[in-house]
Amino acid sequence: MGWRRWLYAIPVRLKALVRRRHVEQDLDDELAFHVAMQTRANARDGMSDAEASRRARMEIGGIEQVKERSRDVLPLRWARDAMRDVGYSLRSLRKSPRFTIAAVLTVVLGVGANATLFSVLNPLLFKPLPYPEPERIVTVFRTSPQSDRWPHSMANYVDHRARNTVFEQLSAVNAEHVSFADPGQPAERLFALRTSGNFFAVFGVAPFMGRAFTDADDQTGAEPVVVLSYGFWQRRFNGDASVIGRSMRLDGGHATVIGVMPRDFEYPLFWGPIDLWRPFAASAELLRDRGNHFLREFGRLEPGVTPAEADAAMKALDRQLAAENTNLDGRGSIRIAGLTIVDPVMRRISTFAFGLTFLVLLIACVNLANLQLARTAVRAREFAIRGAIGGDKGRLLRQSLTDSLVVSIVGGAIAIPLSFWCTRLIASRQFANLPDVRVVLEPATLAFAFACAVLTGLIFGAVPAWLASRADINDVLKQNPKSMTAGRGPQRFRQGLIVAEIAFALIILAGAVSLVRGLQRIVAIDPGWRAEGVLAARLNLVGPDYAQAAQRRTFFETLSNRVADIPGISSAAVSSSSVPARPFDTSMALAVEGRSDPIVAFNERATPDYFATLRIPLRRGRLFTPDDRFGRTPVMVINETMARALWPGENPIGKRIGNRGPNPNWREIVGVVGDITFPSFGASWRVDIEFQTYQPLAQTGTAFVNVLVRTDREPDAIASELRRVVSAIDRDLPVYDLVTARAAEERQTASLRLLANVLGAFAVLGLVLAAIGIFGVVSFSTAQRAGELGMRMALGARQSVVLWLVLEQGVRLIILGVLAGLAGGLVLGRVLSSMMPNLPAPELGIMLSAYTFMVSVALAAFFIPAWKASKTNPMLVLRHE
Amino acid sequence: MSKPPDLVQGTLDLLLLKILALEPLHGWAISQRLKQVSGDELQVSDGSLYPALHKLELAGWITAEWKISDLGRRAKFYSLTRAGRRYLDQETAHWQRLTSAISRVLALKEI
Repeated sequence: MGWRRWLYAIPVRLKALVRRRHVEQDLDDELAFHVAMQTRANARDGMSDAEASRRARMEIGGIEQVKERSRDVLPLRWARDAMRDVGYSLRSLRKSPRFTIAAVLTVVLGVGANATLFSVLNPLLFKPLPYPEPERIVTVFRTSPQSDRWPHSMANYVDHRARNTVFEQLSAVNAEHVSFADPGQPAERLFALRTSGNFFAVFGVAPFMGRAFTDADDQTGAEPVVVLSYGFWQRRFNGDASVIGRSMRLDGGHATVIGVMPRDFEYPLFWGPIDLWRPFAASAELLRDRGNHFLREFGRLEPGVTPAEADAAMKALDRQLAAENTNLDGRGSIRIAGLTIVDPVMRRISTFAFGLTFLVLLIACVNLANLQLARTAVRAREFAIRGAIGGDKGRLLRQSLTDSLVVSIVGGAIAIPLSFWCTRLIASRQFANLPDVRVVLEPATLAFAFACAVLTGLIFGAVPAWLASRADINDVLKQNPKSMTAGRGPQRFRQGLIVAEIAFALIILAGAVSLVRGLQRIVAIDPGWRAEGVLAARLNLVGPDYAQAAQRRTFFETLSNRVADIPGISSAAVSSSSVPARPFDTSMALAVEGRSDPIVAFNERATPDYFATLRIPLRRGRLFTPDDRFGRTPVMVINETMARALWPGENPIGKRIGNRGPNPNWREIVGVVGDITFPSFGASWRVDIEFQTYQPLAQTGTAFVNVLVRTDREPDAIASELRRVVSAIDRDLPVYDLVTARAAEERQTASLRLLANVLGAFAVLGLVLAAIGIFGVVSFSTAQRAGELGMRMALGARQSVVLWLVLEQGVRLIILGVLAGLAGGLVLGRVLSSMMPNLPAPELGIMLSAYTFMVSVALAAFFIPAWKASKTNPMLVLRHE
Repeated sequence: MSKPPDLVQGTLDLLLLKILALEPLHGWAISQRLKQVSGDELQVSDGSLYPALHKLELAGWITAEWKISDLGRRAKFYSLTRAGRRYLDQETAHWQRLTSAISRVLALKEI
């Protein structure tokens, strides 16, 4: 029935919203009319004109209050208020440009730094893996006394899969290179994953086209099939849909293309770009093999099973298997880890770096709180008067908050494009060689930056506003606007801020300095070999021409000789691993004669000139010679660490090391060389690379080899000659991964160096922000005391006494701040060293100079305004009062 | 001398609607009429009058119009809308039921 009223109500409401000024004018006119009428009435009752007007106003009870109450009645009051508050903030911010610029700049730096780091780290730390229910996917490692990330044998995998009770699916994976050659085309090396039939089921990703292989395709003797990656399909087949059902020639055999995986499935960060997947279709012999550990296991947990439960169950299963199979090493076990993109150490370092940046944001907050506090101190009187004439206190608090939010949102709006630009810069500079790390600005980053900005605004706006609103109106009004000392509350608060700021800055400094120095030292670590002038390339000896080991040995011999003949090459070698293009990639479980426990060691098979080419020094015994041929006594060279660990105080020459199992094929140790390492491994410990063994390539042979040359010429010139030499021996043999050792090393340490640079920049940023902040607050509060100091001097205090008065307080605060900073730094150091055990301790010199810098800034901040104050003529100050 | 009791919540609205049901009036005239009809028993400060009028206007029970008053000045005249009249009837009935119920209770004799 009441619908008719809306005919009237809606236009009135709309008008109240849209034509605010008009409504206000009406209100004014209406009340003015009322007062006029009442005045007339009062005058008729015999009052004087002045009295009549006064009474009329009194009866209505304050025109402003009535207006305020009428406005309360109007709809969407909060929205109108907010708009007015923002308008007021903008006006008042325009009126104090110095505050505004300082505040906005602080927000820009603080938020920008955080948003940038967030967009760099987000894909590594926070983004869930691109699979359904990624938390259910885990990696299963085998552990040994030397390694906690040891692969599995096929027989073990078969048992794990058949007998576990915790996995919905458990798959095995082995990365391999395959040679792909279409008739009449040069051969191409592809990167493939050999997997069990249920691999795609574990990750829960359906094919883009065609079908994915299943367990049926994984049977012994099954028709060979492949699934292509989207990238490879686009690159090699131009996205041609008719590729399904086509036959591909891989490593001389044929396989049928049955499907294409969706875009980006080949790019999970932890295994790099993949061209194709194919099932094992393992032979009966391989399925029984328990000695050759080469498989990685990925499993999808049953719903409701936690990784810890799975870990316990798999450990129990492993004990059963060890009891049943005597050829399984009983000292090993199983370890289950969640699937992560970066290794745990890198992850912890990144999280830590993130924490430090957050501290930078905190410093920015403190700075802003200070600035706002100074502003509210100046405006305290204005606030008090507004309160006295009826403005309510909540409104005042809100106005101050609005100020801060306006500043922080403006700052955030500037920071977002800025951080986008920084992110692009980082992405283009540092990750250029890593196609699998893509730094992008996405909604999550924007949300994060916005949250940072708003949080900053709330923190720095609320506290000073609260302090200001707490002040007693009468006190403030009684106080001289240029009063001698600030109120007790704000002063305490400001002192607290100074202490906090010094402490925060020192903590950031301690953390960043030790991390940056640590990373720098890791990058600058002596690798035990010389990268300058070394060029490496890969070759795959597959196909009928290289089926026999003897054929391959002939090839190695010819190749080494011809390469050594290239002018400008001082030495050349052929080896089995991809060192130094990639750090250690082949390790083996070995048996030591006379010892029951197996060892795990990096394993390299190389021609005699390997050590000369990489400049690995000989410590004892001899290196390989051309006489260490096939059929002669099998020999081996080991590294110092291994020699020391296995035969302390003994001569290792003549000791024997062999394969595990019933057929050891003992090899005699003939020499000991220096340890080699790679900077990218410095941050994390991989125990299985501490022991390093070398065997003559001529006595072993392999299909996948690395060609290494040392040259004093331009690497590019050598590269083309290397290709020429190889194609002269075999026209169909592709040379790939041609890279200088220096470039490879830079690529491997790119993320470490990036982290060090970013952290260093943030530490400097934090320090500068803190210095500006301390200087700002201290000089402001000291300048506020100018009146008091002038008064003291007028009463006869000497300049030095006055100076000391200010400095004494400053020194107290600085000492407190330094103590808090030291304590925080110590805690941080503990955390850091528990995260990265081989991180060097921060250097005293750097820490000392950083502390000195901080303390001098603080002292100067106290001294300069105090000195200025003590210089002024006391009479001037007093007259100014 | 005891203070005049505050108006029961919502009764001011009822009074205003009733006054405007008789004839359209501007704010000051309404306040005079209020004093006139209720004597000193009901005291409505001028400060509460205007917010109450604006609330009724926003609810659509009354509507306002600027007209020239008898003194030649522009004044905002309020008048009852049709919806407002029906609302007034309804509220009056409600009020009467309420007061008669309260009266009956208060009329009970103590034993």
